Amino acid sequence: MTAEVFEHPALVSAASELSALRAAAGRLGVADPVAALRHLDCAPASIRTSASAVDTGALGVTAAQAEFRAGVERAENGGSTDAFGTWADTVDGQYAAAARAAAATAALGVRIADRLDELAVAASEEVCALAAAASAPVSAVLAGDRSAEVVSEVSATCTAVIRAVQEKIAALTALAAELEPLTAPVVELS
Amino acid sequence: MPEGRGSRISDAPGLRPGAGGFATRNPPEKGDRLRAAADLLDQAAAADDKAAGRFAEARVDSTPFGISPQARELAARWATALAAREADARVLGDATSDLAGRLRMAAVSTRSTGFRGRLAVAP
Repeated sequence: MTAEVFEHPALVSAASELSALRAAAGRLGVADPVAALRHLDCAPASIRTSASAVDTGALGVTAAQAEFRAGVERAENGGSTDAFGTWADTVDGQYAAAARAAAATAALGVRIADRLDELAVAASEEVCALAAAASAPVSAVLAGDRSAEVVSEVSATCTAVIRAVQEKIAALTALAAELEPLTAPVVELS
Repeated sequence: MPEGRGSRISDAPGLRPGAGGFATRNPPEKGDRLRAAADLLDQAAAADDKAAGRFAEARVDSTPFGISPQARELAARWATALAAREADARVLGDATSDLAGRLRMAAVSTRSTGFRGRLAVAP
């Protein structure tokens, strides 16, 4: 049997566990439970890599602020005006805001990756348990049994798998809401 | 450090030394100090550009988030957040570069006017 191609390893495993249920679903013409898993497939490692680059950028902004402060101090020792110092203070405050926003973005990126991981693993465990519980009616269907009881059980299991996946996907909305405040620039210099 | 950052100062006549702003007495050696300060600010601006580049490198397509509409929305917001961080760094770089340019102009003014250099820094 060819392994299903998923990005997330837990879903590869789950798809394998669901292969008999999927075959039974195909015989009965009900929704494909493995297809449902595809909607939850993800690659948290790629998101962690992205978050890591953001973290590097955040450190870069902090380093730039240190150099900025050194330059301002030198200018003030060199006879710059009070107005220069006032504007430099304003820019310095914006450096701090930018560094905070970048660090927060990086941290949330890591948390998004972790949460996607958790959801994929939790969904995999849940659907595997559902499939295991329905192994008898699944075997019966695959053996040609079309009694109302086994057909109903297999169909209900497929529906439960789809519902479990949908519930996990719904959790992504909360993450998007957390990200929303970080989607606008914080530096305001005009 | 990109070429030409300081050249934008010449595009703002109202902010040129001698065109207004705040007078200060700068002996000739102070011009050197202002130029040294400008060099440091240019380094900071270069660091801002580098940080902006890191944020740009962080971009990913939506695939790692998933194919559901909710996952695509999450991916879209992540991309927007990265763009916002990049914009922050670039605006800081521009502002810092402007300040460096103004310090350089003030240093030149110090040389040309002896003890009557001007440093205009209004935003």
